[in-house]
Amino acid sequence: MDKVIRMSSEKGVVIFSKSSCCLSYAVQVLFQDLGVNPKIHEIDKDPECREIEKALMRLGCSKPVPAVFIGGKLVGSTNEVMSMHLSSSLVPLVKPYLC
Amino acid sequence: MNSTSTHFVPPRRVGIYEPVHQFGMWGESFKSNISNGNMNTPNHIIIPNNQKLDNNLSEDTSHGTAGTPHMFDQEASTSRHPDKIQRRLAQNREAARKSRLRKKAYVQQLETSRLKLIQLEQELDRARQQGFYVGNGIDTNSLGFSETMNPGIAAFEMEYGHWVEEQNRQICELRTVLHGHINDIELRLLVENAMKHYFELFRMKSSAAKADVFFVMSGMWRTSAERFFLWIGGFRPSDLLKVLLPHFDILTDQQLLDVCNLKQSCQQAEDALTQGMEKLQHTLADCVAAGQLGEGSYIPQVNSAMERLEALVSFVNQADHLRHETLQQMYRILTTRQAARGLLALELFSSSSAIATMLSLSIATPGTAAIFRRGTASATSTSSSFHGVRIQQQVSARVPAAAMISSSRKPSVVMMSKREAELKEIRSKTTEQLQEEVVDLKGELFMLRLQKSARNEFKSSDFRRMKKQVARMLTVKREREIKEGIKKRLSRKLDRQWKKSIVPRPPPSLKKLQEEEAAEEAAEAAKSA
Repeated sequence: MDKVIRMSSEKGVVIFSKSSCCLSYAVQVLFQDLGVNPKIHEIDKDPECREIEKALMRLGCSKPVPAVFIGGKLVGSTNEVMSMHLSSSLVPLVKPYLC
Repeated sequence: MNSTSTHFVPPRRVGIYEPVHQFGMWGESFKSNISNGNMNTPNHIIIPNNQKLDNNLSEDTSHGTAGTPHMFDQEASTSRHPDKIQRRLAQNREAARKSRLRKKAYVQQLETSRLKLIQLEQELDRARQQGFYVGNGIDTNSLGFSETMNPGIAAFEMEYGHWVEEQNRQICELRTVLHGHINDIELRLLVENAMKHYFELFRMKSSAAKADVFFVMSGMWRTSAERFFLWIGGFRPSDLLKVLLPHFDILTDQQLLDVCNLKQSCQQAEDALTQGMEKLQHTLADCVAAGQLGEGSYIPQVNSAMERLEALVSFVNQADHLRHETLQQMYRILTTRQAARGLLALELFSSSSAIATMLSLSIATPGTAAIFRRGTASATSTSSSFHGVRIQQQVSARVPAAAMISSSRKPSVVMMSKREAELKEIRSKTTEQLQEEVVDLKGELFMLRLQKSARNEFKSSDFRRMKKQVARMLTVKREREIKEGIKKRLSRKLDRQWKKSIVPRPPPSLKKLQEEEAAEEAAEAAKSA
C-alpha cells in the first residue's frame, strides 16, 4: 500500500499497467499524445504484483490496471480518463507536467 | 322396409360402434326376421334395440323405453325417406370417428413437441452457462440474418429490432416537432429521451459483447454498408462530430472553441484506443497462431487467451464509452434546438452514407440496386437502420449520375434570350448526349428529393426548372425522331428500351460533394501527417 503511494508520487503522472494489458497501452499512448511523459510501472514485472493489485483495488479502481495518478492523486481507470479528457478537464490537470 | 334405422341407439350408449356394413347386415337380418315373423334374431348385437324393435314392429304407441316415443315420432315423420336418414346417420358416425382419431393424433403430436421443447430448453440453459453455440434446432430469425445460434446474440438482435423501431418513432416525432412550434422544455425532454435511447443501445451492446464479442466487434447486426464505417463495433466518435458540425451555421465563439477542443480530444482518445486495439489484435493473432484458443491447450495458456478475450470486451466497452461521452459533451455544448437538429442529422448520416456509398459504385444496375434494395428491404425490423429514406423504388428505376446543364446562360453577343440560348444548346447536342443529360438531370432531381426528405436546404425552384429542362430535351429528341419518320408506337418502344438500359451513376452534384470531401480528407491527412 505504502509502496503504491510512494510510487505514485514519484513523478507528476504515473500509470500502473501490465505488459499484457492493451487498455493500459492505449492510456499510455493517449498521455504521450498529450505531450506528457508518464512514469509507467508494469506491475507484472514487479515481485509484489498481487499486493500492488490489491492496494490499487482498495484505493477505488474496479480494475487494477490501468490506474492513473496525477500529482499523487488517483484519477482512475480508462473510463475516468476518457471522460475527463472529453470534458477538457484532463489537459489542465497535466499542464504542470508537460515536457 | 328398414324402419328400424331410426331406432339405432347411439354407440356411446352401448359402447360399441356399429360400422355401416354391420348395420346393413343387421338390417338385413331384421328383414328376414320380419319376413319370418321371428322376433328373436340371433344376430342381435345390441340387446336394448331388440326391445325397441319390438315396439316399432308393433307400430303401436311406445311401451316405455325412454327413447322410444321420440324415435317413434321420428319414424313416423321419416318413414318416407329412411334411406336418406340411414345414410346421413352413417356419415355422421363416420365423421365422428374420424374426428376422434384426428384429435388423438393431434394430442400425440402436442405431447411429443412438448417433450422436445423441454429438451431444447435444457440444452439452452446448459449452453448459456457454457457460452458455446447451440445446435441448429432453434429457429432464431425468420429473415435468416443471424447466423449465430448464441442465445445472448439472438436476444440482442431482437432487442436491436425494437430499438430501431423506437428510434424511428423518436426521429419522426422530433422532425414533426421541429417543423412546428414547440417550447424549449418539451423539446429538451424529447432530446434527452433520444440521448437516453442511444445510451440504452450502448448498454445493450455491452451485454451482447459479453455473449459474443466478435459479433459486436464486427457489427454483424448492421448492414454491409454500415459496417464499412465500423470502428470497434460502431461509429467513429470523430465521424460523429464531422457529421454534426456542418449542420450548425450559427455557433457562438464559446461553442466553437468547445467544439474544437472536443474534436481534438476525441481524436486523441480515438487514436489511443485504435493503437491499443492494434496491439491487442496482434497478441490475439499470436494466441490463435500458437493454438491457445483451441482445445487441448494447457490451462495457463487458455487463461491468458481468456484474459485477452476479456480485454477485447473491455475495448468494446471503452469504445462505446467514448461514443457515449462524445454525445454527452455535444449535448452540453449545443443548445436544445441545435441538439435536436443534430440528432436528425445523425440519423441521416446512418442512412445517406450508405446511399452515397452505393451510388458511387458505378457497377451494373440490377446487381447493386438489388443488393441495396435487399439491404433496405430488410429494414423490417432487424438489421438496417435505413429509416426515413424510402428510396427503394426510385433507386431501382433511375439511379443516375447527372451533370447539370448550365441553365443560366447569360446572353451572348448575339442578344439571345435565355430560353433561346438554352434551346440552341440543346439542339446542338447529339441524341446520345441528350440521353446522358436526361439521366444526369433525373439524378439531380433524385438528390433534390433526398434533400427535401432530409429537410435540408434546397431550392424549390430547382424542381420545376430541372423537370422543364428534361421536358425540353425529350421534346427535341422526339422532334428529330419525327423528322426521321418514326411513328409513335416505334418511338415508345425505343424509349422503353433506352430506359431499361440505363446504368445508375452518381449525379454530378454528388460527385462534386464526394470530391470535396475527398479533398478535405486529403488536406486533413496531409496536415496531420
